[in-house]
Parts: sequence; structure tokens; C-alpha cells
Amino acid sequence: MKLHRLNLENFKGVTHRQIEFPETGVSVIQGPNEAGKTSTIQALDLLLTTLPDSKKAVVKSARPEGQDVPVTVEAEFTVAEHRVRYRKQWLKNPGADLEFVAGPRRGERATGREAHAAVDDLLALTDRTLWNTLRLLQSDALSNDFAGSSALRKALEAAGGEVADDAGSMSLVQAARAERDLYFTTTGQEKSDTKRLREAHGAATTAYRKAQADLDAVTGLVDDFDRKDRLARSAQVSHDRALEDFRAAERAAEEVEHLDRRRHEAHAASSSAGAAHQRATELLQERENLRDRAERTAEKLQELETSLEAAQEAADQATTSTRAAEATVHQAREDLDRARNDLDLAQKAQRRTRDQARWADLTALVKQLDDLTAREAALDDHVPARVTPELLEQLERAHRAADLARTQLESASARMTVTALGDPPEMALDGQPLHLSLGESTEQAVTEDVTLELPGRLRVQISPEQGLAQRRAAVQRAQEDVDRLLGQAAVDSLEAARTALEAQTRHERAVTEAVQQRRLLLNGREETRLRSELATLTSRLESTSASTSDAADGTEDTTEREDDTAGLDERLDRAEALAGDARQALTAAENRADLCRTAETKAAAQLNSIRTDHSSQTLLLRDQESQLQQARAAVSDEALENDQDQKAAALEQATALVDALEHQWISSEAQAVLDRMSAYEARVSNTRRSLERARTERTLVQGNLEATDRDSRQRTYDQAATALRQVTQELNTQVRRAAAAKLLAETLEAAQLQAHRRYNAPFRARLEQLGHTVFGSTFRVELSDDLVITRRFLDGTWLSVDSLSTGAREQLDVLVRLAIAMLVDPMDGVPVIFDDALGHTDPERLISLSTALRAAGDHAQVIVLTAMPDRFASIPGATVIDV
Amino acid sequence: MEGACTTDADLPGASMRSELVLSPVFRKVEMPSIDVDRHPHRQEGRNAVVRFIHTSDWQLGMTRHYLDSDAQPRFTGDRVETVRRIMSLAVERGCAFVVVAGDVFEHPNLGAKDIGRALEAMGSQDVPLFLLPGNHDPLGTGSIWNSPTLRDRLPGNVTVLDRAGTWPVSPGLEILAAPWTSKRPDTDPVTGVLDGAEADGTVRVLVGHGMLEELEPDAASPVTVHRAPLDAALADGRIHYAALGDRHIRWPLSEDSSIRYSGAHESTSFREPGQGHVLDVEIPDDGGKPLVTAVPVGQWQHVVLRHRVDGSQDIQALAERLDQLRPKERTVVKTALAGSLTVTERAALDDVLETRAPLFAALLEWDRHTDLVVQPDSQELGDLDVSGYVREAVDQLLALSGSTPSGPPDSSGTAEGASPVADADLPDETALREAAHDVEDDLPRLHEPSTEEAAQDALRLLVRFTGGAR
Repeated sequence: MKLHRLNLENFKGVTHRQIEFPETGVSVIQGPNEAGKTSTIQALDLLLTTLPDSKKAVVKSARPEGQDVPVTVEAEFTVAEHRVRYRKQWLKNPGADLEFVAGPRRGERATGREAHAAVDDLLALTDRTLWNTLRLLQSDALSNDFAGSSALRKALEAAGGEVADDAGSMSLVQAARAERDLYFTTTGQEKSDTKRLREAHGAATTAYRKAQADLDAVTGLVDDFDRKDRLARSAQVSHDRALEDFRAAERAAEEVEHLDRRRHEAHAASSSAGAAHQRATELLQERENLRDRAERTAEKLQELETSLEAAQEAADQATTSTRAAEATVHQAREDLDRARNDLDLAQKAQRRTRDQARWADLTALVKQLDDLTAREAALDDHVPARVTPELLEQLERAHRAADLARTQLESASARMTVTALGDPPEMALDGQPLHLSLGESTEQAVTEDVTLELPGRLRVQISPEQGLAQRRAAVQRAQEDVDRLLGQAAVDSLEAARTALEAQTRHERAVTEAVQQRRLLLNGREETRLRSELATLTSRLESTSASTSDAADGTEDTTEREDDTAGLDERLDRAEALAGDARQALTAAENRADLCRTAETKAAAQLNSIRTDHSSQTLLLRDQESQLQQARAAVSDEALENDQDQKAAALEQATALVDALEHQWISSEAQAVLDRMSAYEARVSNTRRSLERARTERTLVQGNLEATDRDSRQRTYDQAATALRQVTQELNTQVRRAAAAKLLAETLEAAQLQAHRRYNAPFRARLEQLGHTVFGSTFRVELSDDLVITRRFLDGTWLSVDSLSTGAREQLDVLVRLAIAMLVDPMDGVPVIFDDALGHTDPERLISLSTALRAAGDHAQVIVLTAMPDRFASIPGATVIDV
Repeated sequence: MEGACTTDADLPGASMRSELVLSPVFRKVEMPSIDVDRHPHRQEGRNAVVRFIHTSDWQLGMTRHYLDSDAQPRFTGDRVETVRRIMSLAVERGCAFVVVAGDVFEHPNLGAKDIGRALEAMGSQDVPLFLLPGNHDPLGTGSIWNSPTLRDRLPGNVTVLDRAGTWPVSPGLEILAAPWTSKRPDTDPVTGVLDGAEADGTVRVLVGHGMLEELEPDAASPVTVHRAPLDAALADGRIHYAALGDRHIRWPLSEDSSIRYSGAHESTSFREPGQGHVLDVEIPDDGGKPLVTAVPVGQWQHVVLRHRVDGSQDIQALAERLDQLRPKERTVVKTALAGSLTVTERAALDDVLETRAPLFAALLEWDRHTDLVVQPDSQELGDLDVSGYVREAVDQLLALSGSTPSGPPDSSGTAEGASPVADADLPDETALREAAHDVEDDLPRLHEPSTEEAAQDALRLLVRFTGGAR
């Protein structure tokens, strides 16, 4: 599209304006703010897009403020080979008027909506995208939809030899995307239709499997029933067989039981015959016993009678012997008495003699003892002295010490000598009148205060010197010791003490002698015993003499020989020997008599015992004979024997029968038969239980089977299978369609992306070429697939477009549009419009940009609107239009 | 075929049979059947001792999970309706009885409604109907035969062969039944019953269920039916015909055999092409071989369309092929398409399939055997008017899609690739088994598209966005 002329009437602030544009080159429309530069472009847009009868805000706002006038815009422009003049009036007398002024349709005209439609058709030939993007307007938002421009695409394809998007390709891609979008979400997930189908398929599969399982369960039940039925049948067969076997065994058992009964009867008969035989035998035996017993008793009685006679004889003999022995004993005892008497007399005589001798000795001794006792009694009168040799020695020592102390006192003390020089006056010494004659003197040691007083005239007191007191004390102590010891010795003086000690010594010696003598006399014996012995002997002798005198006749011989000790001893020995002999004879006689007496007792006992036996045996015999008699009266011995014989024969017969039957029993294996029958019976019972169990189980399963909705399950299964089949097919179709749509869209998109990358190249080359004049030779850019600059390279640095300064971004925006304008075919091109652009660009760069603008102007119409004429003053050959 | 009734010429409505051939397409795909009139054993003067209908594998109550809620009830209802028709057919043909050689019911879990309707159909004609329990409905515990709903409402003409051994039908005629007594027998489920039979002049029809060893791919299977004892029993006159079930496809097709599988009365899977049949069996009184006639009775078919599609001609051919199939509401189609298509062609193919899909009982894509490469041709790319990076994107997608970018414009539609697989050809057993397995047995799986698929789809999308195809 090329703009040739633009007329505005009453458009916003512009009352009337006509602008002529050169065919090519840069047109700079300059004027102050509010001059209506931008309105010019708005007016063109209104003309091309808005119906004349439109009441839209954009129309209303175009009317000059407060004026009721029509808004009119007219333009002359060329689209493709058609040059038209197009006029529209809005609000008042609205209308449109189109005239083809050059080109194949020259002269054609149209008005109103027809004109609008015709222009729409014309504009369809232009690249509307390019129209929108090749302008930098103050008010409008920036459009960077370069990729959407078919003219640019064509130009790029021509330049790079590549085919880029055309409408057909684009719509194909869109259609493919749309198709894919039917099946997939933007994130590539399957959409709900497919999901629903998959869910339906899942549900159908589940339902099918369940139905199949349910149906299989029926088959399982049938199989189970089949199994149970077979088991029941087999149990029945087993039971029948068992029953049959049992019956056969039962029959065999009956025969055997009959035999058994007979056997038992025979046993019983045999046993009772045995018992009868036993009884007969016992009776017979009893009779024989009775008989034997009586006979034995009679024999024994006879023997006893013989024994009785012998015993009587023995007893008599024993009695005789005893009498004789007893007489011997009597004689011996008399002999002994005589011998004892003689011995007694001899012993008495000997003792008397001995006693007399002793009595004499004892009497002499006692006399000596008595003398001694008298002497001792005299000694006992002595008062014992208290002076001991030791005491005496102490006394003497103390005496000497007192003397020494007194001597020391006197010799060491001052001496006072009083001498009467004249007629001695009355004087007193220590209070004692002292009488001295002339020349006489008295001397005394001053051992204590001495007072010499001449009464009425003079008193002299002499005091001893200091050490005198000690010496006096020593004398005092020594004297006290002497006095104490004298007191102890109970004497008055030392002499008396010495005398008393001598007397004491003498007395003690006499006592010692007396004691010594007594010890010699007693010679270890006790005096009291000796005296007692003497008393005893004395009394004994006195009695003996009395008795001797009483029996003077009898003891003549004795008295005679009293002193003849030897004779006495001989007589005594003789008497003792006779007495011993007599004693021995007596003992022997007594022993003999004891033996005889024992034999006599024994014989008597023997006799007595035999007598008892004899009488009891006699009684027994009588009783036994009576019993035998009675038994025979009841049954005779012969009858018993006969009976016993008969019973024995019967027993033999019964035993034979038992043996025969037992043999038969064994040979018939009866026990085995019976055992078999019991076994078969148990088996029948077992098989019956098994059969009942199997039948019960079969009935249970049959009940289950009959209660199962088999036809319903089959129907459900069939329906589920059909449904599954159907949904599977639907899902397969859906999935297949989705896969196709996806593959197509993805393949197209991938190819498109590749193509985009290829055909971007010429665009970038042209852009960089322009950029070199503005930014220098290092300038490079990076483009996105849709031809938008993403990064800029300058002086060794890549920068993201977003991080560039406003001025730099502005310059890039201008350069991009200029590059496009230079690339596209002039026939396809549209005017490049910059409205107050580059406000942030410094003058130096503006000059560089001027070159680029001019270069673009060689290819296309470049319209620059500016309020700052200086900015674009450097564009060579620019057409300047002042408004 | 009306000659089939010559043994019983006064059979009313004998001509109705021809109406059972339901549509031209069935004629086209119908298995070769024995034409009774020209049967080698059919001779003048030979009279049938007995004539009966041999059918099997009704599997009533079956659910096909690829059938939607509209088609499944139709499938279920038709299969009962066909039973009704079989009963009528027996009357029309003067048959003494109808015997179902196992698998009368699909499973033991049938509801009262299904059982009730089945019994209604069974009792719709006063013809003795003998039902043999098979592996799907064995005797024993939990058996459907013990269900009170079934037991108490069994129509008077119906006999459940619930005991192995002979079942008198009429004087001189016996059925020798070998029912499945449990779900998992451990031995040949059929030939054991031969032990009790003697060649005493009684006409005996063995009814059993199980796969003959020559048909059983699993050699180790314990339930394989041994052929030799059957042959021996047939040879020495202990039995005169072996009516077998378990195999859903009629067998043998042409061989002159007294051991027969009738096949299912209605197609149940893609391994059972064509419509279901019953066998009209006549046992002659001269000791000769039975005369067996296959009579189509089924209304449903499973069709596998293996096509190579490399251009619009192929697409057109496929469209025509689909349009020929009738009745569409009783036809289940599985496509196994391979080839290379432009985006436009692929759009056309999609259009063909999408417009037909609602008409069919089911129109399924056999994933494992679908190998379609879609790539824009230069024309399409030219129409795209793409340049620059879009061009690059297209090239990338072409590379990912596994084709060379901007191939020659007429690379599709070569004569070689255009020929569709003749689905009327007899498929081999393995392919049939595989086909059945792929769609029916597996739990449908989630399929994450491969890069190639995604790239092809993306290109199609691109073409669509540029206003190219669709």
C-alpha cells in the first residue's frame, strides 16, 4: 500500500488539512504539539476501518469539540495495481465514496457500505499485519507480530530461499493443533473423553472379570458337586460291599455260634460231672479218714498204758533216792555245826591275847601324852612380848637418831651464860626463878626464846638464831619416832625392850620342843583314835574277863593256854580245817539231794502227763467210734464206693465230649470267623458313616448349586463380554485418532520451527546491516522464532532486550521496522510510520539513524511525525511537511 | 431334491424344502450336497427301513459377544426358530424321528426363558425327538438335564438319551446312545457303547458326540473317537449308521460314508462358512449303505472376506461383494483386508464399510489379518498445495508410515492385488480355527496404534484438513 494524499475536514483539532506524500522517501510531518500530527494517522485509520454510519466512540471523539459538523476524511492510495480515492463522512450526512482512479478497475465507483466493502476487499490484498506492525505510534501499543506478516514471510523466503508460513500452512498447523486439542490438554494429558473411555474400559474389564469369576464359581460349584457326587456314589458302593461281606460273615458266624453253644454246654456238663465225681470221692475219703482215725486213736491208747506203768515205777524210785539224800544232808549239817563251834572258841582266845598286849602299849602312850599336855598348858600361860627383833632394831636406830639430833641442836645453838657477879638479885629465867650465887653461873644453849627477868628491873629476852628451829624440829621428830616405837613395843625404854625380847625367845623355844615330842609320840597316829581304841579295848577286856570268870570251867584249858600263842594258832588252824571239810561234805550232800528231788519231780510230771493223755485218748476213741458207727448206719462203706465208681465213669464220658467239640471248634477256625464278622460289622458301620457324610456334603453342595443364579450369572457374563468388546473398540478408535492428531500436530510444529529458524536469517542480516550504521560494526542481534529481538550484542557483550535502556530499545524498534520495510516487496509494502519516536535518542545517534531512515526511504514510504524538527533535519532528501 | 421323499411319497408339504434355500447367496456358498435322486445307492425298488433327521450342535442359548443388542436376540431367536423348522421338515419328509447328536444346549446356565422357548420349538411337531447330552450339556452333576425347568416341561415327543445303551424306537429299530456323562470323560466317549450291541438284525443307529481321530488336531486328546471300532461295528451289522455330533461343519461332504457329522443347524462361527444343514438319513432294508441327504436349514452365516485392496476398483469389488451377501441382518462378516491405498481411497473404503456396517448382524475387522497401508499419492499431495515445512512434515509422516514419500500416482489397483480371496472356497481347518479363535474366544484387547498406523492416520487427517478426502 502506498499513501498518496490525505485530506481531513473537521477531524478533532484540524479543521482542514491536506497532505501530499511522495511516492518514496522519507516524509517528515512536523509541527508543534496539539497541531494534529497524530490525528492525521488516526484519521487514516478511521477512514479505512469505520463505517460512515458508525456511532462508535472513536467516531464521536473525532468531532471537533462543541461543533455540529460532519467529520470528513479522504485519502488517495494504491493497493496492488489499484489506485483509489476514498472519502468518508461521519455523523452529519454520513457516507462513503470510492473511486478507482488508476489500474484495471479505473473509473469504477462505489458508495456507502458498498464502498466500505470494496475497500475491505482491497485491503485484504495488503498485509494487515504488516500495516499494524510497521508503525510506532505514541498512543497505540507496539505490535511485534512480524512473523504474522505474509509480505515479510514472502520476502524472507525469497531472500533465504525458504518457504515460511503461509496462510495455508498456518491454518494447517492450527487445524492440526485444534485436532490434537480435542484429545489432549495443553500439558499433553489425555482429555476427558479419552479418560472416560479408559475408565469405562477399566470398569468394563472389571465387570467382565467379575462376571467371569462368578461364572467360574458356578463351574467350581458344579465341579464340587460332581466330586461330592462321585464320592457319595463310591461311598454307596463301598457300603454295599461291606454290607454284603458282613452278611456272609454273619451266616458263617451263626454256624460257629451254634457250635460254640454246644461246646459251652459240653463244658458245663463236664464240669458238673467233675463236681459230682469229686463229691463222691470226697465222701469216700471222709469215711476212710474216719475209720483210720479211730484205729490210730486205739493204737495210741495202748501205747499210753504201757508208758504209764513205766512212769509210775520211775517215780517211786526217785522218791526213795530223795529220802536218802536228805538224811545225808542232815548228818553233814550237824558235823559242820560242831566244827564251827570249835573254831569260834579258838578265835576268841587268840583275840583276847592280842587285845591285852595292845592295851598295855596304849596305856603307856596315853600317859606320856597327858604329861606333855600338862607341860604345854603351862607354857600357854606365858604373855607373849610385843617386841620383835626387827622392832628392837628399829628402836635402837631411832634412839641413836634422837641422840644425834639433840647433840646437833645443842652444839649449834647460841649459848647463854648467866653469872652472878654480886649479890644476885631475884631473877627469873623463863619465868622460873633462878637463883645464882656470886660467881656462880648458868649456861644454857639458846634453842628457844629465853627470857631472863630481873623482876622490876630488867628483862632480857634472848631468841635463838634462825636454823635452830629446824634442828629443834629434827630433835622433836627423832624423839617422836623413839616414843612411837616404844609404844609399839609396849615398853618404856630401850632396855626394857631388849629384856622383853629375850624372854619371848625362850618361851618360843619351849613350845617348839613340846610340839616335837608329841609328834614323836604319836608317830603319825591320831591321838583321839588311840584314846578311843584304848577305851574300846578296856571295855572289851573288862567284859571278857567277866565272861571268862563266868565260864571258868569251860575255859580252863583256854585260860591255861592264854599266853601260848603258838598253841592257840595251831588249835585255830585245826579248827578251821575241820570246819572246811564239814562244809564241803554238806555242800555235796545238798547237791545230791537237789538232784534227787528234781528227778522225783520230773518223774511225777511225766506220770501225770501220760495219765492226762491216756484219759483224753480214751474219750476220743469213744467219740470216734461213735461217729463211725453213725456214718455207717447212714451209708455203708460199700455204697459209697459204688457211687464213686459211677461218677468217675460219667466224668470220663463228659470230658470226651468236650474234647471232641473243642477239636471241632479249633478245626472250624470259629474264632477267626467271629472276628471276621465283628470286623465286617465295624466296617459296615464305618462305611455307613462315610456314606451319610458324603450324602450330606453332596446335599449341601447341591443346595448351593440350586440356589445359585446360574442363568443370571451367564447373562451378566455375556453382557459384560459384549460391553467390554464394544468399549474396547471405541477406546481403540479414540486412541488411534488421538495418536494420529498428536503425531500430525507435533510433526507440523517441529517442521514449522525448523523452517522458522531457517528463514529468520535474511531478516537478521538486514537488521544487523542497518544496525552497523547506527551502533557500529560489532552490532548483532538474536531473534526468536517469531522474529522478535531477544538479545543484542555490542562491543563484546550480549544483553537481553529487556535490560536495554529505553533509548536503545526505541532505536531497535525503529531499526526492526526499517529492516522489514527494506525487505518486503515494495508492491506488498505499507508505509512505515513513526509518531514522535526516538524521543530518548541523543542527537549523534539520531544522525546515524537518519542514514538508516533514508536507506529505508529508498524502498518504502517512511512517514515521520515530530514536534522537534531538528531531530530529523539530518535526513537527506526528506520531504518536510509543516502542519 | 423332492425325490428325497420318494420313499414316503404321500408326505404332505414335501416341496417346502426348496424354500428353505433362503437366498441366492446361500446357493452360491452352499456346500456340495448329495443329490438324493442321483445318489449312486438309490435304486428302484429299494425301500428305506427307516428314515430320520440327523442333526447336532444346536447349542441353544449361545451368545456371540460381537453381536450387538440388536443382533444377539435375533441370533438367539433364529436358532430356536430353525429347530422348529427342522421338526417341520421331519414331518414333511416322513421321518420316523429326529436325533440331535449332542450339544443341544450351549451351557447348563440357561434361563427359564431360553429353555422354555427351546422346548416349545422341540414340541412343535409330533415327531419323536431324541436329544443326546454332549460336551456342552453333559449329564451328571449340575447338568441342565437335571434342571426342573427342563425336566418338568419336556414335551411328550422328546426323549433325553440320558443313559448309554440301546433305546428302542420301534420294533426292530434301536438307538444306541453314547451320552456324555460328565464334562471331562477320560476316554473315547462313543465307541464304548458298541460292546453291548449284537448283530441280531435290529437296525441300530449309533448316536454319539466327539471328534473322530482323523479330525482331531490334538492327537493327545483323551476324548478322541476311534474310527476302527465304528467301522467294525458297521461292517458286521451291529450298527447301521453313526450319527455324530461335535463338529459344526458337515462331514464328510462327498464320501459315501455311514459315519456322519451333520454339522450345526446354524453357523456359530467364522470357521463354519455357509448355512447350517441337517442330514436326511434313509437306512435301506437290503443291508446297503444309508442314503444321506444334506438339507440346508440355517439362516445365519459367518463370512470372512479376505480381500486385497489396492485401489478404487478393489474397493468397489468389495462393496459389491458386501452388497451381494444376504440376508445381511443374519450375516456376520469379518474383513481381512490387505493392500496399499491413497488417502482418498482409504476414505472411500471407510465409507463403504461404514455405510454397510449397520446393515449386517456384525461387520468386523479382523485385526490380525488387516494390513492396509495408506499413503497420499502425488495427486493428493499436489492438491494439498503444501510447501515449505508442511511438505517436510508430510515427507516425515510418509517415511513413518512405512511407504516411500510421494510414490507414483497409480501404484494402486493392480490386477494382481485386485482379486478378492474367494471366500466361497473351502477354508482349511487351521484357517477356520484361527478365524474363530481370533474374534470369538479372546477377550478384546487394547491396541495402542503403531507408529506406522499413526503416521498413516495423520496423513489421512492432513488430507482431510486440506479439503482432500472427506
